[in-house]
Amino acid sequence: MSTIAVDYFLFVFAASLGVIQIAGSAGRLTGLLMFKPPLVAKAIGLGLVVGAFIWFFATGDRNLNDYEGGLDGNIQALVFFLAAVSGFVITLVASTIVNAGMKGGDTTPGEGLEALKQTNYGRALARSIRYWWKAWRTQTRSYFSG
Amino acid sequence: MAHADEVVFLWLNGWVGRSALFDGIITWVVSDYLVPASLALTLLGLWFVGDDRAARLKHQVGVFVALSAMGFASWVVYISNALYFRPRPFIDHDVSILFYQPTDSSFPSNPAAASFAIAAAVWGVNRRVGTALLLGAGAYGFARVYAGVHYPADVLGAALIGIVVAYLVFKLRDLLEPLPTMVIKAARILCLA
Repeated sequence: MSTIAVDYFLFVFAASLGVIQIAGSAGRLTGLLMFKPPLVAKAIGLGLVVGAFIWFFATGDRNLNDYEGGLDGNIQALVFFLAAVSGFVITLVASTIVNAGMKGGDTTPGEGLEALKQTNYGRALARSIRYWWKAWRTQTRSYFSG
Repeated sequence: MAHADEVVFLWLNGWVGRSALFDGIITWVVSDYLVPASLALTLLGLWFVGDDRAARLKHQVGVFVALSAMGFASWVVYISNALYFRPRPFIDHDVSILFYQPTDSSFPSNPAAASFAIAAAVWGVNRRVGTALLLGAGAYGFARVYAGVHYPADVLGAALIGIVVAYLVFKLRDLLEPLPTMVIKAARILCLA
C-alpha cells in the first residue's frame, strides 16, 4: 500500500474519531462519548479533527497525480470508508467501556441511537437484539413495511 | 463567451506568485483530499446530529440524498466528458500551476460538481451546515481556477450540474425508497441509526 494511502487512512481515522465526538456531543448521545463532560468531548473532538488535517497536509506533498503516487477517486473513497468504519468501531468499543456505568433502565428497544442518551452502545445493542430476537415473527414484517 | 472565460481565468491565475501564504493556502484547498474529506466527514457527523429521532432521521435521509446526488452528478459529468472535450487551461496558455496536470476534460469540473451536489443536498436538510458546505465547495472551485487547472466556466457549469442534480434527487427522493428507510431501520436495530 502506498505511503499516501496509509497517511490518508490515519488522517481520516483520527478525524472520524473527532467528528463522532463532536456530533455525539451535539446530539446529546452521551453513551457515544469517550470523554466527559460533553463539552470536553467536543473540544477534544475538534482538536482531533484540526490536528489530523494539519498533520496530513503538513507532512508531505498531497497534490500528486494517480501515476505519481496519488490516490485515484475509487481508492480514495475505499480508504475513506475503511478508515471511517474503523474510527466508528473503535468509538463504539471505547465508549462502551468508558460508559460502563450508564444503565439506561427506561430505554425502549428499537429506538436506535436515541438509546445512547441513556445507556452505552454495548448495553443498547444487547437490549435491542434481545428484543428483536424474541419478537421477530410478529414485529419484523410490519416494521420493515413502514 | 469562451474568450471572456479565458480572460477571467488569465486574470485570476495571474495573481499566483504574489503571496506565498495565499498560494500555500490554495495548494491545500485545491488538493484532492481537503474539501472532499471535509464533505465526507460532515456527512458522517450529520448521521448522528439531531435533538430527537425525527430530526436525526431527517439528517440521515439527507446523507442518502447527498451520496446519491454525488453519484448522479459524477455520472452527468462522465456523459458530458464523453460528448465534449475541452483542453485544460495549461495546454493552451502559459499558466502558473499550483496543482498536478490532470488529463481529463476541463469542462465540467468533476470534483466541483460532486462537491456542489453534496453541499446542496445537505442544504436541503440543514441550512446552516449546507451553507457552510456550499462555501467550501465554492472555495474549492475558486482554488481549481486560481491553481490553473480549470476555467471559471468549468466550475460554474459543474456547480449548476451539482445543484440541479441535488435538487432533483431531493425532490424525487421518494423514488429511492424503500432503500433508505430499510437501511435506516435495519441500522436502528443495531443502534447505528
